[in-house]
Amino acid sequence: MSVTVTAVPFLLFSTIVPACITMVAGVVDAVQTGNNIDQSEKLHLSEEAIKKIFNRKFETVIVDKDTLIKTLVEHGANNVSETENSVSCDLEAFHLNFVKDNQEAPYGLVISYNEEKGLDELVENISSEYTTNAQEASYNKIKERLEAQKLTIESEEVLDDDSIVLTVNLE
Amino acid sequence: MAKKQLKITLLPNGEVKMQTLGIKGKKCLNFIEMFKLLADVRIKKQEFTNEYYEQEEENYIENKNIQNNISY
Repeated sequence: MSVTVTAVPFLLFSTIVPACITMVAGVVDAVQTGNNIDQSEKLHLSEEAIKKIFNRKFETVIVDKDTLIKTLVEHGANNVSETENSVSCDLEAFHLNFVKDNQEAPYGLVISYNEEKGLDELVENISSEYTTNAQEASYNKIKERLEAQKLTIESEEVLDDDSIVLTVNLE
Repeated sequence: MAKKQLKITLLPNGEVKMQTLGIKGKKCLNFIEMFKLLADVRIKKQEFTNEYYEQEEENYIENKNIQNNISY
């Protein structure tokens, strides 16, 4: 070989981090919903009836909306809604809101929840599934373009770590 | 004469690697541009091996040109 190049697809922002979603803040804010404490005492409501909503912020390297929505839907998301620069949904016991400032920026993520149980696992799963979908999108794109350029693939191999290796003939 | 090939590795973390095989000299740089267009990627790192600094083969067959307006 003469040159080895490592590259990041445009589906992922800038550089790869160990997980494509990483937490940047602890609990950002807690919002008390329902009746306030004074009201609850007058109405003889128990503390359990007063629900708190917590928010946690995450950075992501997710750039592509279509791949993001595909990932969320495959994971079982409900009430998926999107605007030009945002995607939100309900997943398990959490509400996810992905927002980006502009087309080139990665999505920031805010997860709203009552109970934190399962949150870290959810983030890890979404992160892992998005990068798998990004790998699949790159694979399909490369194969399609190789075919268009009439370049033949001599071999295709899936390794134990789920890497896909394509050996392409140039002559 | 070694076969001229590209070895493209799609990693599970989304990164894509490309190695040129059997191509000596600076001609391999053409394949970096080709790879960027093929895979829609930005280059994070590139490393040259000794083969890069070897004399190019005179009977090297030109790589096929990838048009800049490839659509996905």
